[in-house]
Amino acid sequence: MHITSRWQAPRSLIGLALRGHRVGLLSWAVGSGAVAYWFGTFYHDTINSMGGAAKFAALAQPTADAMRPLTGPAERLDTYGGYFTYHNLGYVILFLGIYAAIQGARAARGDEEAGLTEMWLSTGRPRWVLLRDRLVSFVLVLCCIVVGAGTGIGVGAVAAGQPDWSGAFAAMFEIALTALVCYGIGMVVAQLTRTGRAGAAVSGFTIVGLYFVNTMSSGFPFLAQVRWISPFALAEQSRTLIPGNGVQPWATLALCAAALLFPAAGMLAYQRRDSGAALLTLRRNQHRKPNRIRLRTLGLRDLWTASLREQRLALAAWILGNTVLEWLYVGLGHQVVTAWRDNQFIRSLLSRSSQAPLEDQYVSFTVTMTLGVAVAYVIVQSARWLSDIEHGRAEMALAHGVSRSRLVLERTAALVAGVTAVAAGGVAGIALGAWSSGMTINSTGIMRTVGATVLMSLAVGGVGLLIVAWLRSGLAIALLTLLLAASWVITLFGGLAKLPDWVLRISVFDAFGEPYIGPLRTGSVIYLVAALVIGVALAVGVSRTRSSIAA
Amino acid sequence: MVASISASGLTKDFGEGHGIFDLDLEIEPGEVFGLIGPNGAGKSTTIRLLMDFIRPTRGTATVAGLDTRRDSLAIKQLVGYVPGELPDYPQYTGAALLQLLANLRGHVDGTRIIALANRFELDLNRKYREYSHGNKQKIALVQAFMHNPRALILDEPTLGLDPLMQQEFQELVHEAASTGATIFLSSHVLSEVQELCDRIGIVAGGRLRTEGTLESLREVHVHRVDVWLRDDPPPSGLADIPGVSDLKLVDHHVFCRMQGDFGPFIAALEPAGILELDSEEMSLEEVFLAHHIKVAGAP
Repeated sequence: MHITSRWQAPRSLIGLALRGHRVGLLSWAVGSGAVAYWFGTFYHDTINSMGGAAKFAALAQPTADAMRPLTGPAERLDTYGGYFTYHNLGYVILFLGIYAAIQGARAARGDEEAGLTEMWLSTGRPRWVLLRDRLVSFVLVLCCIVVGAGTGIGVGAVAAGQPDWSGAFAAMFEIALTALVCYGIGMVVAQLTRTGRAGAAVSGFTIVGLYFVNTMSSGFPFLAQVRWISPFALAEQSRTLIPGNGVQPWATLALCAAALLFPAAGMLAYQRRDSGAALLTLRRNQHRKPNRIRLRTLGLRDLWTASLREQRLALAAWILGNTVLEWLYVGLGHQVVTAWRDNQFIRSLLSRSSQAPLEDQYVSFTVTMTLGVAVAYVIVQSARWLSDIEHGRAEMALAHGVSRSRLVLERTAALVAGVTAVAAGGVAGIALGAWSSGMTINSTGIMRTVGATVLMSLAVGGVGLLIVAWLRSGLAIALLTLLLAASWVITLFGGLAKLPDWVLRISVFDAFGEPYIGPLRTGSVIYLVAALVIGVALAVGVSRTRSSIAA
Repeated sequence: MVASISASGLTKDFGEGHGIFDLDLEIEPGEVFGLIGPNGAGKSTTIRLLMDFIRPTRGTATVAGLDTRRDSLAIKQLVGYVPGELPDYPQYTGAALLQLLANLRGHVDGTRIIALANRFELDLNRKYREYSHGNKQKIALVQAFMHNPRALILDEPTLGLDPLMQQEFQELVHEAASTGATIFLSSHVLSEVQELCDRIGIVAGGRLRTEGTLESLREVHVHRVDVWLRDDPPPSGLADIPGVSDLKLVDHHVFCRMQGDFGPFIAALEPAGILELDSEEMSLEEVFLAHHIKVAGAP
């Protein structure tokens, strides 16, 4: 049989691409489209209730300026396009960029450790063709995201009474182009790391770094000199949703060039490196060390300590990421609170929902970041439990006398330790932010927040343990994510949608409340503890009675 | 004496004929039992049932007199296990992985681990993900033997091992058996089972087709027979002779398989004048493939 590397069977490639990225594709296209539509209706209602767009913009501008190091510059907040760009697109471009970079790293290295890449290569396809095909697949995925999210933004603009279809699609095009550059960066970075997992992690951090190089350049002159290395700086030139702005040809062309150059560099590096190894590797010491066994090694005594040891670098990244996030947010607190204090309308608006001081209200808002990070950590841990089952590691533990119940309990113990560490990272960030901005932090509120974050994360973990034990497939993670997304949407929009009170109470996010400002409701504590205890108990029960722990 | 490993009507029905059905088995202490059969015959299913990783549809099994379901944890303390598919441990060195598994089990002597690793010429300082398949298999063997188990349940234990290491493994099995340990292993490599096992069971299509000592199976002597004749062979009747199978006639040349008494076969060919007769005993593997897979209806 003759095998060529020519372009073949585009229809099957499209099918494979959409299938391979179906979860990410649906989440981005449908999720961001739906949020954009809702945002349009929210904007319309808000400016009407606040006496017009100009007044709304005047109120929002000081806060937006204070948040500039996180979101970039805010312009024309008196328009839906301007406000949506400031409020949403900064995060969309960042998170889509991180997602793209991780996908790029996976495209370059993901299959290698499983030996799949060598199987593909053994069919006669050149290495660069392998990466090219994956790049084309991702471009197709981005096209779908542009259509889905662009339509959502466009419909949102119509709902806001300011239709701008070309601006909506052009904005998503620029974001997708930036994501494509990030994908290429992921492809290059992954060639330099020892493993695919490390490649994905380093790529993600690289993108976060490049994002902040751009957004923080206004406050740090030395960053202003180097901000053009960031694709986000180029994307910022064409913020097409803001009235008066259009596509900047030079910036768009520069992004296009980067979108070609980075994958090309990745392909070139791939041609030169050994499969399964980094491009540059140190020669191993030729002298073989004698075998040694230390049974008392900390971190190898139980499954839960071993689990923490296995993911020590990843856990450090979670903690560090959360610390930096809280540091940034709380560090901006002084400016934001000053802007709020100087604004009579915001003061009265905030006083309607809480009598707490403005500083406390701001910190209370920022600690929800830690909650988000901790919940994301729980989802990742659920995926790890599933991976342990699928790869036979759970059965190997059973073979050495670990009971099925103990397996579930050890997972719970690892989760308690991990979530507590992530929450502690958040506290460290809050303390650093408070120190740098001169804000006063309520230590009791912080302790309550840590407790509530850990409790809530464990409640989610309890549900995750049950779903993983029950379904034992990738469906479990999708279901857990869906439940959490639904819970979050109920908390966020349930009030606006005038949903019955009992529906709002179902949401775990509603149970979280505002622990920094006041203690959790007794009912919430009972609800979260019950979710944890019942989840773990049922997971133990399901695990013990199931014919097999694997699917 | 209580059988060290036994199964009674043990069945795991995955549907559509997949699984293992009505398995009755008794393996005595100190015995090495080999279960052989083609891929998908039910070997790994049997082993996973004995390890209580999957639960039987019906029937029971015991290890050292303990019920595999009720006394699952107690059994694990007595048993060393090699899985058919090696788990992936990307974050561990060989040493770290063995340390973890030893700690989960408890009461494992570190010097025993090192002795086994050295015996298999295994460098424990390397990352598990960097090991070749053979070296990963060595890790699997070390963890199975590290606690001097009373019973060993091994699924394709020599997969990926080079001949020298296979020999080392065989010595290890003989040493364990000599101390009274019961060994239950599966393989699709008959020669390996012939070397190691006191008794062999042949499983195909989810059923135990036959089992017995190596000698008793060898009693099923089958010869490949190749006869040159001076004249044309007799036109009919050869295929009806008891013990003759797979008969082919090409000019003056007769090919067939022969089991049992050669007398009637030679008498039938005598009139055509036998110029040359070659007879070669078929290996157990060939017998197994020729007969038992056909019985099971496998291709």
